[in-house]
Formats: sequence, structure tokens, C-alpha cells
Amino acid sequence: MTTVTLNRINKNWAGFHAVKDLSLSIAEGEFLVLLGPSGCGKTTTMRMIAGLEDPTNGDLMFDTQRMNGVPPRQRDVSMVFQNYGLYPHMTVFDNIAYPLKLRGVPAAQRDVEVKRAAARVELDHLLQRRPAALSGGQRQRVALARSIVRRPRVFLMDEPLSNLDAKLRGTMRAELKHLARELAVTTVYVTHDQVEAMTLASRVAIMKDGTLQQIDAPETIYNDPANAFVAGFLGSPAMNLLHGEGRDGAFYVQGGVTLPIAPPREGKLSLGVRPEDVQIGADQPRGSFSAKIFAFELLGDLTLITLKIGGEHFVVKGDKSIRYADGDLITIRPDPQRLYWFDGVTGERIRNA
Amino acid sequence: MNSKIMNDAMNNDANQSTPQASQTAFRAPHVFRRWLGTFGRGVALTVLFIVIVLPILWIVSAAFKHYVDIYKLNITFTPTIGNFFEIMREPFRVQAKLLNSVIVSVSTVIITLPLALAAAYSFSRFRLFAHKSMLVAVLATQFLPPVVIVLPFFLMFRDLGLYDTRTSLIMVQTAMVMPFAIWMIKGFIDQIPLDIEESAMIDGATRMQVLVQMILPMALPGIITAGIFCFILSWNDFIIAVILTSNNAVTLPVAMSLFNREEGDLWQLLSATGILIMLPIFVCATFMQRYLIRGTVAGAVR
Repeated sequence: MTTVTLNRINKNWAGFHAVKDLSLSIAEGEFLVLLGPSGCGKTTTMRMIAGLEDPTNGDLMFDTQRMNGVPPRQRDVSMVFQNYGLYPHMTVFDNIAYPLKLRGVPAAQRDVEVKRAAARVELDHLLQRRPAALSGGQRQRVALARSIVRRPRVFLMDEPLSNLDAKLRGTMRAELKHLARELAVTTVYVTHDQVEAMTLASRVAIMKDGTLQQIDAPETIYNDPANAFVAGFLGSPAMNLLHGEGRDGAFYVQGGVTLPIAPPREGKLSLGVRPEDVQIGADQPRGSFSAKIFAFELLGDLTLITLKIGGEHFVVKGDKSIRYADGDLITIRPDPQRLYWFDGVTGERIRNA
Repeated sequence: MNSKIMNDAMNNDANQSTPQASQTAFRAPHVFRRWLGTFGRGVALTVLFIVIVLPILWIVSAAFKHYVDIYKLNITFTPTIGNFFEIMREPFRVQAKLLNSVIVSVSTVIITLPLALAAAYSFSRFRLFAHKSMLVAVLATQFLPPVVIVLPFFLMFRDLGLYDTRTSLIMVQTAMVMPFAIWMIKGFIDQIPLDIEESAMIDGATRMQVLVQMILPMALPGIITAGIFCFILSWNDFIIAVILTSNNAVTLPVAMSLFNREEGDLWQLLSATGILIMLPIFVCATFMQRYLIRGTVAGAVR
């Protein structure tokens, strides 16, 4: 059980500053998800933890040991790659046994450990096959088995589910969660999929352009985002953001619409409302307003109603039974307890006293 | 089937009254063009085949002829295998030359391949100082005609006391084939995904272990193909061998010049030696086909 600490880590490549002054600590047994869009630096950060890249400056610590410059094979970490990184010229058994073989584990013990790891991911019957003869899901399980057979200090996973089809992804996500809980090893998981982040993480670290935006439990990040980027990244459909200005105690949205919602202050502001926090039909005149329906979508378990407010899209989740047509005028009321205000220029969250 | 359509077209030219005739006549030009293309291709291939195979056939048949039959253009002749025994006797002693060729070529390949593999891996995976320039420099040596450098080598080896030894031949031929081997193997290594090496390094492998346990098996088709190419280059080399050897280290291609006697060129003996030279190459070429195909089809598995 190991803690991983990153202290002001920077990574520069010939002018491209991939990771900027990153500091975070990962507790023992924690499942930390590095979440963010492509190019945000999350994979680079993980590769630095693995030892495949070296930080330009800053300290990387495992417990109290400084790990900068230590080659990967001496770090006792294991990694599952996006493309699995299986050895194509070896059987599944040999693939899983390889880390043990390199460490000089005797053949008899290797046999026991490999079979145990394979049983855990339900691969017992495939041990003599080659990777080429396996499906995507099976290959991924081989990669998983290979990473757990050694009981490393830290598990690293680089978007392991992105190459699977949607249905398999759901199944494997649940299996991963179960496995991670069972093994209780410190895990760092990189993904751009916020569903994986929400479901798997004990804490989520959202990154953008090399900087850490927020690091918190998934619930906190969802309900209490630190800035507009975080707010818009989590949740599907994304949080609605209306850009405008607070003036004379009213909120003027771009496009000439005034909303009867009191802004916290004057100046450029963005108002964030989650689609599920909007009530359709007004039973209270305060805080409700009307808008025209731009699109109506029936998803089966709910409906998505897209409105146009001042030229911007505003999505509302509705019950699966309601029906509307394009162009209809409806009244909506965002929950006043669930309004998020962000600075219109910096995107920082405005938290009321 | 094509000829049937051709015939129909030709027949219909005569009577254009039937509606079918006009249809076939309309279709005929493009069908005829396709037939002409196939026929043309066949002709070209036949000519190419004759040009390539005929000399080989001539040599093979000449190897089994008596000297008197060589200059006759008969297709039939009384064959003999005496030539093969003759070349092994004095003053030719082709078996010694064969041994030299084998030792030199095999040694060249054995020395070249591990070095080329290591160099190709470095070029492929590491960002070396003056990386691009080094790669170009390696390639540039291939542009140098061997005849230009052979004389300096002669002087150098003579002064070193290595003239007319297999060692000098091996040294020069290794240098000659190495760039080619490096480029070829590098091409194969470039195709191996980095994931696999990184995975191995995280699992606990050193670079050397990665090279031997991962890269070597996966690039094996490329390595073997490079090895076979190098063997052929070394085996067929004439210009370097003829300058650097005189008696002891003479290789087979140079041995051919021994057959120029007072009575003329002993073509039957030359041809017998020629077969000795060609046989290993034919075997190599057959092997190479298999590995070339395997090399292109087998990629690394994702």
C-alpha cells in the first residue's frame, strides 16, 4: 500500500508545456481518476508516475522515496495500456507469467499465481491461446490479469475501456470496480469519459491544458464544481451555461433576454443550471420564465427538451411521458437551490457567503 | 468465353439486322480491349521469362555437356557429370573456394545481424545526437561504388599483413552490407508498437531484455530477410574479392576466372561452378519469399 505524491511537477517538451506545476497526493488504496479532454496532460502525468517519462522539474514520491529518474522496472508499478500492450508472440499464460519470470519466481509458483490471476478475470480456459485469437474484451482481461499477478504498489490504467464497444464497456467497468475494491491497491486511472470517472473514482482530478482544475470526490465535483470548465465537463447532457451580465439586480442574457433570477453581483457572469434541476410548468411565478422549444427528443427513459434562450441552447430533462412539439412555448423554473454562478471572464465559481 | 464474344462480334459485323447484333457490336470494342490487355501482358511476361530464364537454362545445360558440345546449338547432347569432378581436381580445387565463400558469407551475416539489430533499435527508439545526419550517413555509404574504395583497402590490408585472408574479406563485406541491414531491420522495428516495450519495461525488463525477448522475436521475419539479403550480397561479391585475394582466400565468383586457359574459356567447367554459386541463392530466395510474405502479413497484435 503506497501513497503517491506529486509536488509541483512540470513536463516540458521542446517548448510544449504539457504539465504545469501539478501538485496532488494520492492516499493509500485510493482510486484516483485523472479526467480531462485530449491533450490535457493526464496521460503524461500517468507516464511520469510509471517512469516512462521523467518530470522536467518537481518531485515525484512513492511514500517517502523520491522516484524521479528511477527506471520503471524498479518502481514496482503495473500498467494497463489503452491498446493492452500484450506480447503477441507469447501465449496468454506466458503473457501473464512474464512479470513473475523476470523477477525469478520459480516455475511452480508462477503456475499457481498465473492461474489465480486468470481465474479472477475469468480467463482460465484461454491460457494457451495467443492474443491474436482473442476478442477485445478477452485481451483486456489478459492485460488486467498481467497487472494484478504481481501485486504491485500502484496500479496504473490508461483508458483501458476506450477500445471496447459500449455494452462491454459497461460490463467491464463494473468488473473493474469490483476488482479494485477487492485488491485495495492504490490506483491511478486515466480517462476522458466522465461516466467512468463518476462510477469508479474515490476521487477525481480534472485537468485542462496541463493544470489541475479540481480534485474532489465525484459527488463534490458534480454538485460543487470549482469553475465553468469542470461544471460543463461532468454530467450528460452537460450543464447549461448562459452567458450574460448582471446589471441593476437582474441578469441580462446575451441576445437580449432578461431572466428573473437575481445575480450575486454586477459584471460579466455565467449562469449554470443542470438539465435535471429544471421544473417544467410553473407553479410559482418567482424565478420562472418562458422559452420556445427548439428540439424535443424522446430517449425512452426520459425526454430531452432543448430551448433557445437568447440564442443559446438550454436543455431540460423531462419525464418520459410528456410530449411537446418544436416551437411550443413552455414555462420553466430552475431550482433556485441548484444555480451555479461563474465569473464571465475567468470561469471561476462565485460562491455566496 | 472471351473468344465466343469475339466470334459473335465478328459474325454480327456481317448482318446488322438483328437487334442483338447491334448490342454485341457495341460491347465488342471494350471487351476486345480487355482481351488485348491480357494478351499483351501474357506476351510481356513470356518475353521477360525467356530473357531471365534462358541464360540460367543455358548454364545449367552447359554444366552437363562435354567441351565439344558447348559451341554447338543442338538441343540434344550426351550429358556428363564429369565436369563436377573435374573442377574439384587440380589445378582448380573448387571445393577450397567453396569453403572460402561459405566461411566468408556466413561470418559476414553472423557479425552483421546482431550489430544491425542493435543499431536499428537505437535509431528507431532513441533520439540520438545528430540522429537524422547519422541515418543519412549510413545510407550514403551505399552510394559509394565499391570499385572506388577497393584499392585503398588493398593497400591498407597489405600493410596490415591481411592481404589474401578471409578476415579482410569479412571485414570489408560486413561494412558493405551493414547499412542495408540496418535500414531494413529498422523498417521492421518501426512497425512494432511502443506499447509492448513499455509494457515489458514496466513488468521489469531491462532494455537488453526487451531487445532480445520482445523485439527479436517480433522483428524476426525482417531480421531473417535482411540476413538473406546480406548473404546474397556477400556471396555474389566479385570486385572486392578479386582485389583482396590471390590464392588462399579466393571465393567462388573469383574462381571463375581460373577457367580461362590456353585452349579458351572452359565453359563447361565455368557453368558447373556457376551452378555451385547459384544453388544457395535459389534456396535463399525460396526461404525469403516465405518470410517476406509472413513479414508483411504478421503485424504486432493490438
